[in-house]
Amino acid sequence: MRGRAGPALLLAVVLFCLLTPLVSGHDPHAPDLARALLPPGGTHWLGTDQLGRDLLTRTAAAGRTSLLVALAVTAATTALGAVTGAAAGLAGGVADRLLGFAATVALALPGLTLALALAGVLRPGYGTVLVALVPLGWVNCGLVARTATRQVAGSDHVLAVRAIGASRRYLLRRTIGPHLAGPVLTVATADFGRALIAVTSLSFLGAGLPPPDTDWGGMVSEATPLLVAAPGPAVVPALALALTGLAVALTADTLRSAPASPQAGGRR
Amino acid sequence: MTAVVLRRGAELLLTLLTVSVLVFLLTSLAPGDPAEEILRRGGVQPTAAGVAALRAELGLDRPLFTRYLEWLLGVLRGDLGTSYADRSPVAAEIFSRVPATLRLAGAAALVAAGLAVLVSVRVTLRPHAPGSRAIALATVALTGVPPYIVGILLISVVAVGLRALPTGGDGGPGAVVLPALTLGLAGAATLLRLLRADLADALRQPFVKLAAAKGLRARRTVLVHAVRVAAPNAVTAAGVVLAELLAGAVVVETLFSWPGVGQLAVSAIRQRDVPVVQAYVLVTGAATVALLACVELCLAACDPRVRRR
Repeated sequence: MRGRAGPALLLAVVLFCLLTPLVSGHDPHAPDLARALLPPGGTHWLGTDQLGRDLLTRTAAAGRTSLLVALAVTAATTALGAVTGAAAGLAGGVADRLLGFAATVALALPGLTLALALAGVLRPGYGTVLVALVPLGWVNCGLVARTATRQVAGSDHVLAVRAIGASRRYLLRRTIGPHLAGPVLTVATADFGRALIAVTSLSFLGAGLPPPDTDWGGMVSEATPLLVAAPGPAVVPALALALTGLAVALTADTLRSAPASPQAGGRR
Repeated sequence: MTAVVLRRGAELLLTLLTVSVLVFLLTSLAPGDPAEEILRRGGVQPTAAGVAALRAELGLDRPLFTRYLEWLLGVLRGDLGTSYADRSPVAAEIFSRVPATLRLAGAAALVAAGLAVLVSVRVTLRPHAPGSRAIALATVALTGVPPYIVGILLISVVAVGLRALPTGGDGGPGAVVLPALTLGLAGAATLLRLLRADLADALRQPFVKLAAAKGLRARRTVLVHAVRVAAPNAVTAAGVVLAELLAGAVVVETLFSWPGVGQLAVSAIRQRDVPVVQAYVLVTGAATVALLACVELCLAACDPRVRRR
């Protein structure tokens, strides 16, 4: 049962974020000070925030931004990590040592701190968030891809393909690549969770996306000063982010504990 | 052992140098000219001559590598530069806030260690108890939910709902409870996962079967025998978690207005005060790197297998 709860919850969150702004009839960015901080009820199901914006619509719109940016970060780190990891694992020697050193340095550095500093020094925006999170974020995936490549590279069928004179490119794409899909997907899911935390944390600290493209971290940050007087505007996005984080963590946990299937990959 | 110390020392130096280069390059990444920035903040409309004079005064007209060496020498002497905002020395500002951050991280470490040790032993002793599954779920949840969200929920329940504790600041002994709990819960989740894996490994060793065969009670097997085998790994886990707490402190400090280093860094980021940001990254980065090196040395000192690696 626990195996399906994560993906199901994640799907529900994605649908909520994509569909709510379309059907709610409220503009997530249009302020209406006359209707600020309304309690839940009426046309505003969850009430309004300090600028009179509909909380439900705004939470969904911010969720879409959060998920998209985290997805972009994960796509970049996964592509970078899988390619460098597989290449280093296959080449061995100096390339492998270089990857090892880069990983040691990257793991020793305080990731959030560096990302925060980069994002704080550059101009805020989507590109900055990517620049802040990708350079250290690919390491996990790189190490996993390297280990998986090494394990497969020594097996008989890889040796056979090598023996008939396949190029390194062919080896990586057709022979080794399919074996990496499983482990890389697992680490990518965990990385997506980390990216979601990092992206929203940057926004919470005021070094993320500039308004009006707020994500959940930005919403929480805006509403925190009012927390005692009106907890709604901070607690609603906080709960949405908590649910999403839980869903991603559950999914990653399921993937991690799933037995490695012998025909991982499919296309040969 | 000497070889381990030398090799780790060399690695430590190399990593610290890499950190220092990265941190130094941060300033040159910043858009705009620092001299212009300082003049504008001083309320002066920057003229070409004024900017050029200040650039010369700050040494910004010299090559990048020379500036790096001078900056590094300054850092080694304890000079972390001057703030854009009020042109005061950054080092004094940062170090006046270190005690508050250490107090928070220390309290959080106590929370994390206490929770993780108690829970991991309990879960290992009774893996099928109903509480154990709930704990497993909570652990997974805590790794997926960012600490500041846990903090927001704690504040709204404990401080706003029950009016039990202050929501922020550093006034009175109760003020540290919520920030330490927020930060500590995140650390506890990581530590618990590592400790549980170590304990499970230890329980798979043959001597555990022997202990069971000679009739030793499960409690004694876990508490006396398995824990001792898992202990060296716990040192590593503690190091990893302490590093995580130091890095995570910035978010929790911001949420609870805790007057630590992280809060200083965040306000510096909002004001785009690059030297303060730079100093913060350098200090936290160096602390993390040194911490992880210490852990490895502790490990080498108490486990001969590590020395031979």
